[in-house]
Amino acid sequence: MAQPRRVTWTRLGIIVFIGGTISNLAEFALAVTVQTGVMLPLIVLMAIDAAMIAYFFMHITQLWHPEE
Amino acid sequence: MTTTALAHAIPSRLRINRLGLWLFIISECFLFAALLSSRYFILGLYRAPELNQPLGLAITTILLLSSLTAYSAEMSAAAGNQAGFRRYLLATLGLGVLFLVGVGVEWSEAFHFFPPQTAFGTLFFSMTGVHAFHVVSGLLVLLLVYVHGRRHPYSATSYWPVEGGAKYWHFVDVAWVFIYPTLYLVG
Repeated sequence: MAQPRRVTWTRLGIIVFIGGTISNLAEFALAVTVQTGVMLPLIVLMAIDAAMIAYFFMHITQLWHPEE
Repeated sequence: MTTTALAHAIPSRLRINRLGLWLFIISECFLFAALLSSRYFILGLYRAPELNQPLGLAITTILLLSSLTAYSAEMSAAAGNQAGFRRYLLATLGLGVLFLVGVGVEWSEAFHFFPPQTAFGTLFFSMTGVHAFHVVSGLLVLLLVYVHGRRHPYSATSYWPVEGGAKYWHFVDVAWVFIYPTLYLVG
């Protein structure tokens, strides 16, 4: 992996954390306020949350770009 | 075959390590997928009304924050910043323990409202229990990485233990991203 710049990874990490928190809050608000039909939006929010962590924190692209 | 060509043909140790860890993580995904599907198969969309949803949200945020600190520890190690690596890894360990304390509080409430003998209790304790076991094993791995890093500091070119430990910790977080809505919000 190339040497990351501190400012770059700090900013990226905080953005992913804020994005994940917003997603969790949205899930919570949806489940508390809406009684039916929450399944699909919850699945979408879960997938976004998991994809952000897998892409930015777990560097999943290393699987098909091993030189990264 | 020349030495250079041979070096390109043989995958590096790091690539093999990464592939091995990803295969392990994928195999773990099947375990959690089975648990998640069993929740819908057995209970449908039923959810126990006594579940402490705000506490669930709180510990989810704690785990997400621990992912941020684990990522920061990895990036610090990649930059050769030993002090940053140690500071962020200790923060990750602390947040992981805090998450477990939150799960413990939930369990004490759950034993009262929906004990393991009930259908919801069985699934609740199975899912949170298996996940908590992964949290404990992740904490042990990160603790080993921390101790190893103190004795033999990681360099910018050699920090695989940090990367591997952090990846596993992120996986534990991803698993909870699916467990939290499935148990606490659906229904």
